[in-house]
Amino acid sequence: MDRPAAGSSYQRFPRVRIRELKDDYAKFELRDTDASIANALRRVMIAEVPTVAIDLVEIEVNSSVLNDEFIAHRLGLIPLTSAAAMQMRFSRDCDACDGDGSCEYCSVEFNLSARATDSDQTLEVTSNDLRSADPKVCPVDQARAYQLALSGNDYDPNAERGILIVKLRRGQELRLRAIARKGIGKDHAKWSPAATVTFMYEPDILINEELMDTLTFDEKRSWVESSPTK
Amino acid sequence: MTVPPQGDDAAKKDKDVPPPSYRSLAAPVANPVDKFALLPAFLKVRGLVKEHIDSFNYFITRGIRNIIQANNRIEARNDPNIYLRYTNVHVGTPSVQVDYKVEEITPHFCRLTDRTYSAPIKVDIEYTVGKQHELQFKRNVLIGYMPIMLRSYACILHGKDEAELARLGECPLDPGGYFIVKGTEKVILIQEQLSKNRIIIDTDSKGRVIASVTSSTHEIKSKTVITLDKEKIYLQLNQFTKPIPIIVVMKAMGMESDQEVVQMVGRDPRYGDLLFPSIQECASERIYTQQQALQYMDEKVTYPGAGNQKEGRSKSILRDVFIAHVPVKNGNFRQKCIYTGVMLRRMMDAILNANTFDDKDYVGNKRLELSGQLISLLFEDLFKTMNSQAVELMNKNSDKTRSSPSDFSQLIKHESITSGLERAISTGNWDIKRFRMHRKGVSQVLSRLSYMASLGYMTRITPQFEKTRKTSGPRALQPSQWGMLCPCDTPEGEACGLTKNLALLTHVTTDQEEGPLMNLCKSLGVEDLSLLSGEEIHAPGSFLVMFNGLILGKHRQPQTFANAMRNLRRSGKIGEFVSIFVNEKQHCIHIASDGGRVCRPLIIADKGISRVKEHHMKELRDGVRSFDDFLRDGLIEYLDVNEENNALIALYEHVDQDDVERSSITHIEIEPLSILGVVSGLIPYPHHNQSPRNTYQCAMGKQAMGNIAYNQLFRADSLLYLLVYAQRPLLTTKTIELVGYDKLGAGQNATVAVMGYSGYDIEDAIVMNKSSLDRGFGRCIAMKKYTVIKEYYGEGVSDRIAKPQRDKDGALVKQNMRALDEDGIAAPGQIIRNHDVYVNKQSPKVIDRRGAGAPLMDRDYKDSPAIYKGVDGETTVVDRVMLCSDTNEKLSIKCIIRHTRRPEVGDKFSSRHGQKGVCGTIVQQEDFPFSERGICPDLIMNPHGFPSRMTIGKMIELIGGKAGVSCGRFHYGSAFGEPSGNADKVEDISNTLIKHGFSYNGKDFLYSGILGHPLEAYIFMGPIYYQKLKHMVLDKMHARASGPRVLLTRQPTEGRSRDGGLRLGEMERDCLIAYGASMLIFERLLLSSDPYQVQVCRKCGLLGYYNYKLKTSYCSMCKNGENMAKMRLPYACKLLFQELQSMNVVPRLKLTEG
Amino acid sequence: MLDVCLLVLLLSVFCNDRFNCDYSCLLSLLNCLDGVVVVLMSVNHLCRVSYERDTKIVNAASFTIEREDHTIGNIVRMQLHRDPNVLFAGYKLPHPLQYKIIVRIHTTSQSSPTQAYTQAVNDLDKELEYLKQAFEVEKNRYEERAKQGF
Repeated sequence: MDRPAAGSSYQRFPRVRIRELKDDYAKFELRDTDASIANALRRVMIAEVPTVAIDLVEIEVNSSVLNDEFIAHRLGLIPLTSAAAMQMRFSRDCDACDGDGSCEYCSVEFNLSARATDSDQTLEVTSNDLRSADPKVCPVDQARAYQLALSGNDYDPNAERGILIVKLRRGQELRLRAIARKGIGKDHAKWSPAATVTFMYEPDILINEELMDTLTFDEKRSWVESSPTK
Repeated sequence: MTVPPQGDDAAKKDKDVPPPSYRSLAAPVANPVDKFALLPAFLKVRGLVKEHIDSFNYFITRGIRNIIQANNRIEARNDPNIYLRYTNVHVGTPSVQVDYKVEEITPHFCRLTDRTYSAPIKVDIEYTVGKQHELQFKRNVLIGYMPIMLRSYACILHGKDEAELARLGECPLDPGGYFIVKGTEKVILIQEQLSKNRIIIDTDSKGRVIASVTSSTHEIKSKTVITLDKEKIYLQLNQFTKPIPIIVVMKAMGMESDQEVVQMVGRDPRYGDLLFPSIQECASERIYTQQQALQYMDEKVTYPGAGNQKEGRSKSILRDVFIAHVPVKNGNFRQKCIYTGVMLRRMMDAILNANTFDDKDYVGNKRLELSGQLISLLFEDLFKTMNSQAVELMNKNSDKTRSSPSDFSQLIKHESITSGLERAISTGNWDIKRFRMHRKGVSQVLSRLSYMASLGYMTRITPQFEKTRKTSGPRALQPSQWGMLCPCDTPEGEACGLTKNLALLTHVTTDQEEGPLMNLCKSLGVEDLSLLSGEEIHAPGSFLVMFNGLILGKHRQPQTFANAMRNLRRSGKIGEFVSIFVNEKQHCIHIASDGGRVCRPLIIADKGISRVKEHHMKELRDGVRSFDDFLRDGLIEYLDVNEENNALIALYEHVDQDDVERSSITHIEIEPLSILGVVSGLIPYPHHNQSPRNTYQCAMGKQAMGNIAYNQLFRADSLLYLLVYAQRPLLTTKTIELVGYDKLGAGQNATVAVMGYSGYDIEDAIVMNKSSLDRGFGRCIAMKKYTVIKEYYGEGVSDRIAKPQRDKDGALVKQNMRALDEDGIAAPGQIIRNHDVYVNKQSPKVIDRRGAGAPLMDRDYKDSPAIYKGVDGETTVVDRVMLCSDTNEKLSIKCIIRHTRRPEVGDKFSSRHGQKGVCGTIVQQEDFPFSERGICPDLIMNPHGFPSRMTIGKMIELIGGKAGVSCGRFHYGSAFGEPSGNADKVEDISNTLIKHGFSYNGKDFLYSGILGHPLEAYIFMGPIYYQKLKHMVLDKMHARASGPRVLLTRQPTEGRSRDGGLRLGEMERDCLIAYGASMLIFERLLLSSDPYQVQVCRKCGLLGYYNYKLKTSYCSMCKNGENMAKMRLPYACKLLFQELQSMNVVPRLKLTEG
Repeated sequence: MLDVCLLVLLLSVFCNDRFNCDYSCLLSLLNCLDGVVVVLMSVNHLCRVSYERDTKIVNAASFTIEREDHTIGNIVRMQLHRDPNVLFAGYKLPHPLQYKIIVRIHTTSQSSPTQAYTQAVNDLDKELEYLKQAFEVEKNRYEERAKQGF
C-alpha cells in the first residue's frame, strides 16, 4: 500500500460565508471541513465561551413572596453584557482577591433596591432595577435600551421592560447586593452565551429538469407547495 | 342498527342534518348539544367534596336536633319531678374562650396555633330548681365544642368569595370537608359497609344458603341470619346459643298454624316442599302453640338471667333484637312475620334459581358512611354519657344531702363532649360502647404533599372489613361501579380494590324524612299489609313495596306507581335523591330515601331524545340557569345504583347503538369522562393506556411535588415539598380545569426525547440535561418544621431562651450559634448548617424547687439547645420562625427550615402514565442531541419503557403537547373525550404538526451532540408533563463504617435516622458461607466488632467477674475464685446467657483446653 | 459575538490555563446551590496530556488528555482519520464523572502515534486559525455589503 511519509500535513482550509448577521443572530455556511469541526464550534459556543453572570447574592432585605435562593437563581439567569469577559479573570485564578468578589479584576458588583410604596399596584422588579458598578457589564436589555437611545432609533418597548425578577405587593421590599463573575457554560447554564446553537447539513438539491418538463404547471406548482421549508 | 325514529321533535332539531343515511349514522354526534358546561355547573353548586360537607351540614342542622330530641329529658332517679329538658340546640360559629372572652377563630389560625377549629354546641333548657320544682329556663347553655368541618354551614368560610377567603388566609381552591384538630388537618374517611336493614341472600363459608339482615335503629344494631342447614331452616341470633328452627320462631311470634306460614311464604308447591322438613322438625319437637315455642326458645337464650322476667326473655329478644328495624306495635308481631316470610321466600327463590342470589359486592348493596353520620354516632354516645353522668351526680347529691336538691343545669359538664369528639377525631379511634363499635383509623391526617393528594384523601372510601382477606370478589371491578366509583384510583398491594375513590360526579345521599314519603306512597295506591292475608300479599302481578328495607305494602300496578313517584321527584315534590327501583325478579319496588347511597346526575331522555336542549345550555352559559334549575325543571335527575338498573343510559344522544332500540333509552350521560375520579382525571388520554398504568399514576400523582395551595407559604406543615417552577400541563384534560390542577400544578412540561443514551438509562432511568436543571427544571423546596417548647415546670420555674454568648470582641463563643439572632432563636433568612443551634434553650438544673425562694441564677441553668440535624454540605435556610402559645399555655417556637434542592442522580420522576424512573445521569447540554431548529431535550427516556407498558396515552400526550407548543393552544386529552370534542384526535394533532413543519408522527431528525453526526433514526420528541416525586436520594442515602451502638446489646443501631449500621443479614451470610469465606464472618462479626472477655467458672460453668482491686477473678456462684478461666465470646452471647439466667434457665459452659 | 467564540475556541483548545481547578467553594451565599461541581484534581499544569504505549501492539498508543471532552476528542479523532498512516484512531470518555478523554492511535510503521497525534493537533491548530481569519474577513465583507444596502 502506498502511503505518504509521516509528517505530511492534512490541514484543511475551511470557507465561511455569512448569510445573516444581527446583534443576536448569526447564520453562516461552513465549507471544506467536516461535521466534527462544526460540532466543536457548537459545543464551544454553548459551554466554553466565558461570559459574566451573577454568581453571588447577598440579600439584605427580602420580604417578597419568593425566597432568597429563588431570587438568587433568577438573578443568575439574567444575561449580562459580556464583552468585557475576555479581559476579566476567573475569580478562582484571581490573585488580587480571595474570590469573594471584592476585586475589580474578577467581579462586578450589582445593587438592587426596590420597595413597593403604598399603592395598590404590584411593583414589578426587573433587570432594569439592577444597578451595575461597572458600565461595561449590565443586563443586556439595559444595554440595548441605552444603545437605542444613543442611536436615536425607534423606541423599543421590550427593551424598556426588562426581565422580570419578582413582583412586589404593597409594603414589600427587596434589597440586595449581587456579584457577577466570569464563568463558562459548562459550569452553569447561566454562563452560556447562546440561546440556541445548531447546525445542519444543507442538502444539495438537484432537480431533474427533464422530468420537470413533463409536469404541467399545476403539478409544478403543487411540487413547489410541497416544500417543507417554504 | 336502528335508524333513529324521526319524531317531530327530532325532525325539528335536526333540521340542518340530512335525512338519515349511512353517513349520518357513522357520524357520532349529529347535533351535539355541548353538555360539558353542566360539569362545571355541577361542581360549582356542589363542590368537589360535596358529600362530606352535605353530610356534616345535615348533622349540624338536623341530625343533632334529632339526637337531642330523642334524649331530651333527664330526671333524677328518686324524684322524676326533678328534671331537665332540652328544648332546642344549635351549633354556633367557631370560637375559643380566652380569659372568659369568646373570640372567633379562623381555620388558618387554628392550623398555626395547634388549636381545634370547633364551635360551641348550645342548647336551650328548661329545668326544675329547689324543693318546689320551680320551672326555670335557660338559653344558650354550652354542652360542648364540636369540631367544625371546613366550608360547612357552621364554618366561617361558608359562602365566602375568593377575596374574603384570601383575607382569612385560606386557599380558594381548598375544597374543605376536613377538620382541624389540635392544629392538624384530619379527614374522616368515607366508610363503606353493607346496606343496613336489607335482606341479603348469600352462601356462608360452608356453602349453606343464608338470608341475613343487619338491622340498625337508634337503639340497637343486630344481625339476623336465617340458614338452610340440611334442608331445615333455622334462625341464628347471637342471643340464642343454638339455631332455632324457623317454624318455632314463627309460632313464637303468634303464627301458630302451619298453613298460615306456608301462605306467608307463598303458595307455590316448591316452596312448600322446601319448607316441609322444617315444619316436620317443629312438629317432632311437639311445639304447637306460641307458649310452647317461647318456652323452647327460652331454654336456648345465651344469658337467661337478664331480661324481662314477666314476659320471658325470648319474647323480648324477638321483639327488640330479631330484625330489630321492623317495628312491633302493641305487641303485634304480624309485620315481623311478614318480613320473615319474605326472607324465607327470597331464600327459597335463591335455592330454586341460583341467579337470584344477592351480590355483596354490588354497589347498590353498599352504603357509604360519611363524617356526618360517624360524628352523629359519636355525639349521641357522648351526649348520653354526659346526661347519665349528670343523673349520676344528681343521685349522689340527693343521696348525700337530703336538704335541697340541686338543679340539673349545674351538673351539665361540657368537657366530656368536647374532649370526646376531639380525641376521636384526632386519634381516629371510634369507640361506641352501645353498639360495641371499635373502629380504628376512621380519621386520618390530610396529606398535604400535593394538591392532588389532599383531594384524593377527600374522595377515598375505606372498607369496613379487614384487609387481610385474600378474597378476590370484593377487590374486583364491579360493573355497578360505573360512574360512581373510579375504576382506576385504587392503591396497589393489600388494599387493592378494597380502598376505592369516588368518581367526579358522584353524590352520596343523606337521610331524608320517611313519614311524608310513606304517606305519599299510601296515597298513590300502596295497600297496607295489615289488611292483607298471606295469600293476597303474594298474589301474582302485584309487587311488594319496600321502603328503606321495610315492607310498606303492595301495589297492583308497579310500573304506574313507579312512574308516578318518579314524576313527583322530577317535579321536585319529593327529594331529588329518593330512588325508585322496580325489581322484576323479586317482584318488589324498592323506594329508598336513606343516607349513604351513591348516586349521580344523568340527563333525562324521552325515547332517546335528550331533554336538555341547546337553548338550556345557552342559558347556563349566560348564567341565567344553574345546575339546580336543571334538576328543578326535570331535565336532569339523580339515579342511584339500583335505579340505574331500570334505566337505559346512552353515552351520547345521537349515537346509534347496535343492539338497542333508541326509543328505549331513558337517560343520557352528562360526560363520559365523569366515570373517572379526581385523581385519575389528570391523566391525559387514559383510555389509550393499559389500565394498570392509570392505577399506578393515581398512586404517584399523590406523591408529586408542586404547589399545594395558595396559602402554602403561610402554612406550617411539618414537611412541605414545593416545586420552584411548577407548571400547568400542556396537555390538559377537562377534569384538570374543573378541579384546579391547572392552577396548582405538580410538574413541569419537559421536552422528552425517546431514545437510548449513554447506557445510564436502563431500567426506566432517565437522562437529564444539566442546563435544564441549571435553569430550574425539577428544582424543589423542602420545608421542615422544627418545634421547640419552652417547658414550664410550675412555681415560676421554666426553660429560658438565652442569647448567644459572645466574647468581648463580639465574636461568637461557639461557632454553631451563628444562625441565632440576638433573642436566641434562629433568624429568618440565616443559613443554617448541620449541628447549628436554632433555639438556644436552657433548662433549670433542678426542676423541683419547692421551698427554694431565691430566683434562679444563670448557674442554675444548663444548656439544652435545639440542634439542627441536616445533611453535611447542604445549605439550608431558616425560612420563618413562629412563636405561639400552645393549648397548655406554653410557648412553642416553630422554626421552618427551607432547603432548595436541584435534581440529582437517583431522584425519582414520573410522567402521568405510571411511568416512573430515577434520574440515571446528568449530562451536559452540549452532549445532548439537538435538532436542526436547535431544540434540545430536557430529558431522555429509554424507548424500552413503551412496549411492555403499552402507555399509548403518553405517546399521544407527546405529540399533542408538541402540537400545543407549536400552535399556542392547550390541547385536551380528557378520558373518552374524542367524540365529544374534549380530547384532540391524533389526526388533528398530526395536521397541526405538519402545519408547523414537524413530521406528522412526532419524530424529529436529530444530530448527536457528541459527534455532530445525524442520528440513525428519527427520534420521537416532544413535551411531556413530568412530575417530581417526593422520593429523593438526599433523604435516603445512608452509609456507615463505624458508629453508634445500642447500649444494651452493643449492636449497631438500626435505621438511617440513628446513623444505623447496614445489616449483614441471613442471606448475605449464606452467600459468604457458600463462597467459602466463613472465617470472614467470624472475623468481621466477632473478633473485630463484638469481642468480650468473660470469666468462666470451670466448676459450675457460669460467668463470674473480675475484681480489679484484688486482680483476681471470682465466681459468685461457687463463692471462690479457684477454677476461673478467661475466655472470649461475643457480647451478644454473654448477654444471652445473662438473659437466660434472669429467666431461671442455667446456661452452663463446659470448658476444655483448646 | 461569534468571533468571540472562535477566538475562545482557539484559546481554549491549546492554552493550558483553562480549568485550574482549585475551586474551593467560596460561594458562601445563596447561589451556591448552582455552585459548580468541579472535580478537585491535583493536576500538574504541565501534564495535560500523558502518553502510554500499548504493550502488545507496535505503533499503538493511547494519549490521556486531562480536562477535555468530546469537543477535542472528536475533532482530533476526525483529523487523525485523514492521515493514511493512521490505522486506527479513536477516543473515549472513560467515565462520565472523570473529566478526561483517552485517544487511542494505531499507525503504520511509517509513522508513530506521537507523530500522528502532533501532526493532527498542529493541523487542527492551523485550520482553526485559518477559520478564525476567514470568519473575520467574511464578517467584514458582510458588514461592508450591509452598509452598501444589500
